[in-house]
Amino acid sequence: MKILCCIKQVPEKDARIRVASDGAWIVEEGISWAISECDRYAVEAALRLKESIGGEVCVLSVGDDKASKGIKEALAMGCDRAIHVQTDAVARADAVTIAKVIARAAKDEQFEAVFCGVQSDDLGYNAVAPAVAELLGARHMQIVLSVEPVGESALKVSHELDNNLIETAEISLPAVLGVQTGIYDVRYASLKGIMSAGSKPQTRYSLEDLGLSEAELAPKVTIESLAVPERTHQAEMIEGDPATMAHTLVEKLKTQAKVL
Amino acid sequence: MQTISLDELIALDRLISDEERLVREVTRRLVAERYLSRAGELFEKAEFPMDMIEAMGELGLLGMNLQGYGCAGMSNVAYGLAMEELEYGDSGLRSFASVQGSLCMYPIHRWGSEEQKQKYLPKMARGELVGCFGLTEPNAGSDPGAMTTRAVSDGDGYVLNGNKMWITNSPIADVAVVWAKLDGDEPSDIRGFLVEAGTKGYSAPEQHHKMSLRASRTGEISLEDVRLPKDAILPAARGLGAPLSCLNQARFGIAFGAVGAARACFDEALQYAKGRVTFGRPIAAKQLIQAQLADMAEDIALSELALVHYARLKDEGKLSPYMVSMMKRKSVAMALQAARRSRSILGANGITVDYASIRHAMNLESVYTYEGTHEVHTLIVGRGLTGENAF
Repeated sequence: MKILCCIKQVPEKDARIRVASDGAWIVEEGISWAISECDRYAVEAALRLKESIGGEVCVLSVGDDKASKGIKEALAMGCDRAIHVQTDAVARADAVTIAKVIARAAKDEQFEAVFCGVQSDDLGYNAVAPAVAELLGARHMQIVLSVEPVGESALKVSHELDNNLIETAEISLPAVLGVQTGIYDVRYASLKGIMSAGSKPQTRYSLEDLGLSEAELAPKVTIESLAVPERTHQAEMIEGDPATMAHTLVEKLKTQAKVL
Repeated sequence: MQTISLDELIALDRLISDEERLVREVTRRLVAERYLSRAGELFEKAEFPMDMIEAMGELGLLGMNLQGYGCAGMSNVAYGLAMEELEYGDSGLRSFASVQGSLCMYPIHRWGSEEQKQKYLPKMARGELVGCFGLTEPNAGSDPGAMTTRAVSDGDGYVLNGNKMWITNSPIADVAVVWAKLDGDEPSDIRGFLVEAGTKGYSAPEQHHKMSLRASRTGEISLEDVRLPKDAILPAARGLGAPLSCLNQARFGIAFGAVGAARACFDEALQYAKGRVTFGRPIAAKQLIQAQLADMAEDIALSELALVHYARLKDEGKLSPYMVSMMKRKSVAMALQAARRSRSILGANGITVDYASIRHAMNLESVYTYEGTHEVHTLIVGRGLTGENAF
């Protein structure tokens, strides 16, 4: 099976995030970057599918040198080859713009299964996978918990729905799956894998190579400002029986927080 | 308030390759996910986590800077960084990897026959075979040339007699690299032998009641008329220089490892200081605490940066034994001081194994003494500087 796995580099979990002087992005200097957690599970899901049915896993990432580091790790984990869309122009891009880049880079490859993390650790749009599916004309499932092959043309997929419901269904290929965290023990890149990663094939594209116009890359969402949440000391314990507490909470949400 | 992390202070990523950075990250993740949560319990119960042998083998951490025979063939920088991350977990964990890779696989790789390499190295790299290194004796520690273990040529093999002590991994080892004087009494007569567990006359009783390196198995090696075939000898290892060369390999990793222990103590002290309030303010806001944290950060940063420089020299084959002695001596002393400082910052909490600092402080007392004591390394560096032998 021809499998694609999309990954994104994000600041490490314990990175000290500072807002940049323009107020609309973070200071990237001095931060360590890592593959987004959900994407790590997507790599694992893709590799497991390949190991069960055969084929190849191609890892794809969009971005500058940080992306190439993520690609190396995915190759070290066992991916067979890589596509790197080299650009520093999309760091702040919205989900649809990123999806356009991914879809254009993947469109001639006829991938049968595309794995993405359900959302990224940084922007968390939760929308790249469905947008890629739309652009590739593929089926889609989000918040995927397990994947099994069904012959050559379908996958049996479990995924979360609202209200804690889990649906298990067959999805015919091609399909794009947004993978949830915590569903596997994600493998470590072995040292031999790290040593061999550099010799695995990588295809590099620029945005120009992909023929994406400025109009196509024009953002649908722009970040106006970022702010570190202010620490306040306004916690209030609501006392009473459950019904009283619920009533009090709703009143406060209406009258004080004014969110209802 | 804008803050800066220890990693940002060191800015090591500028000095290492993507591969070396990945090795550090993968090892760090292994230790965080598979070891840290049980480190205190293992220390308290004096248990070595046998499952970590397989885990380290799967990653390729065992003998990782050796070429071929199933070894990863990584740079010495990568090796050092991996040892640092293992010791962030516990000195016992790093000690296992040091002994397996530098003290057991290394001599087989360097001086073993092709048959010995094929037989042992791939399985040792995967963690399927555990090795140990028998040099120290009850009455021969810093002076290994005074060893009394003897090998005697006998027909088509050898007969070994003697006792080794303070041997990391010996109670769980499948094969021991045993150093003995062959048919003579001079340090130049010292040869290395591969003794497999189960060989008649070989035993490795455990040494109990340690207050340090508790999550590591330490034992003796007893050799009573142990008969070995001709092919059990390491053919190319001759004289005291051979085991000392192994120790230099291990000392190099120990120097990095100690930085890992120091980092663990620093991280713990910093976190604790931010949360612990006395006289209405976090103790992190007290000058005395900040001075200690600044000293620790500075020591760790400068040690790490120096070690990477020396590791690059090792990759170029230009690292001298004097440099290794200096690395080990300075790094371990620095780590021990950091552990004691952190223990102090933690106050009374610092004496329990719920926190890592006392465990690291106790472990580092062993590290201070093993693989060439602090004092021996002082004399080696001193001899190098003055040309005078003060042993």
